[in-house]
Amino acid sequence: MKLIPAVFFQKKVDGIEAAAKTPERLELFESELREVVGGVLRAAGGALTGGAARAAPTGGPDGSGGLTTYSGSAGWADVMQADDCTA
Amino acid sequence: MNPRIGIFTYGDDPHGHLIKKKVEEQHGAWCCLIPCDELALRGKLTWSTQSGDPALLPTVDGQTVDVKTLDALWYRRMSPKQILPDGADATYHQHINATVERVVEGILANEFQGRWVSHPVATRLAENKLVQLRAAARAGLRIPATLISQDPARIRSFCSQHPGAIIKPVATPRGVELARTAVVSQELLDSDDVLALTPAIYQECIPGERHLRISVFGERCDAALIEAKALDWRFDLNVPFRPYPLDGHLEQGLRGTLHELRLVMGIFDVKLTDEGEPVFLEVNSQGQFLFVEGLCGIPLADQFAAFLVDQVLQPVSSRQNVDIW
Repeated sequence: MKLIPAVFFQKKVDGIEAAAKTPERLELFESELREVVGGVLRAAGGALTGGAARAAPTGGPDGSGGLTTYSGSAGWADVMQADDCTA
Repeated sequence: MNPRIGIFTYGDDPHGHLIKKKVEEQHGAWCCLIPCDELALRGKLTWSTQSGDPALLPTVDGQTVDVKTLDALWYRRMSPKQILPDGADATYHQHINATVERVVEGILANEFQGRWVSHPVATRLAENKLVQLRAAARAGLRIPATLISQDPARIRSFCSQHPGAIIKPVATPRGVELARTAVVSQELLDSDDVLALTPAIYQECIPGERHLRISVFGERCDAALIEAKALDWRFDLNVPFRPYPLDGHLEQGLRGTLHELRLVMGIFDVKLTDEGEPVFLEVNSQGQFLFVEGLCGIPLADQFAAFLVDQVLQPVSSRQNVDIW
C-alpha cells in the first residue's frame, strides 16, 4: 500500500461513515436561496456556468460510492466547502 | 454617489451571488462579481502604465470593471486554477493559471485604492493554522496545547502527555478529499512512515459537546451554539443549532484575534469546555456562514451585506497596507 498522510491514514482506520442526511430546514433554506439567486446565476453565467470543468465532486471518483466527502462540493449553503480563500 | 463594491470569488459561489443581490437591493449600491476561476475564459484582463487607462477585470455579467473605481472589495476566493475555453490546449494550463494569477495580483496591488475585506496578504497569512493559534493566544483566548510535526518520536511524546489527543489537517484545499478531526489511534502512532510523510496538527482534546461557530464582521459578533457529541460537527448537521449570546470578554478576544491578523472579518470555531470556558480552535478568514443562517435563523447574509456597504464609509487605514504588499 502506498504511504498516505496521517490524517487520511487515521480516517481509514476509523472506517468510512455513511454521509449524514442534510437537515430538512437546510434543504428548505437552500431551495429558497436557489429561487432568490438562481435567476441571476442563469442570466449571468449561461453556458459559462456549470459543466464538468467546474462541478466539484460530491461522490467519490475512487469508487467509494459517494461516501468520500470532498471540499468544494456544490451545495449552496455548504459547510463542507473549503473555508480557505487561497487554497 | 452610490458605493461601488466588488466581490472576488468563484463564478458560481452562492455566498457571492446572494450578497451581491442584497447589496444592490437593500442598500442601492453598485456591485459586481468578478469570477476568479473564469478569468481566462472571459478574457479582457487589461493593465497599462498609462495613468489614464483603466485597470480591467471581467465581471460575471459579461462586462468589465475598472478596479480603480471600486470603493470596497470582498476578497472571498482566489482560484489557483482557471477554467479553459473550448479549444485551449490543456498542455498550457499551468502557464495560463500562473499568468492570470500574476496579472490579477498586479492589477489589485497597483490599482485598487478602496477598502479590502480582507487584504489578500493578511488573508493568506491568517489561513495558516500556526499563525492564527499564536494570534488568538496573543489576543487572550485559550488555545489547545498543539504540536504540528512529522517527527514520530515527538508526536508519540505529545500524545502520551495528552491522552485522547486529536489529529486534524493543516490545510484543506478546495476539491480534495476531506479528513475530519479524529482521535489519534495507536495504529497511527505505530506507523512511523505515515507520521513522517507530512506534518499534521496534533492537539489536546477539548472535552465537551458544545461548539460555537461565530461570525465576526467588523465589530459585530454572532454566534451559533452547536450541540454535538462528534469532535467534528460538520459531517452531521442534524444536531441542535441555536443563536448564542457571547460575553464581552470572548467578543474582545475574537476581535483582538482579527486585529492581530489584520483581518476585518472572520468565522471562528470555538469549543466550550464542560465548565463553559471557551477554547479557540480556528478562524477561517473567509469562512462559510450561510449554512448557519439556514440552520438557526441568524440573518447573517443581511448583516454581511450591511457590513460590506459600511466598509465604504471606513477610512482606508494604513493598517490594511500589509508591509509585503
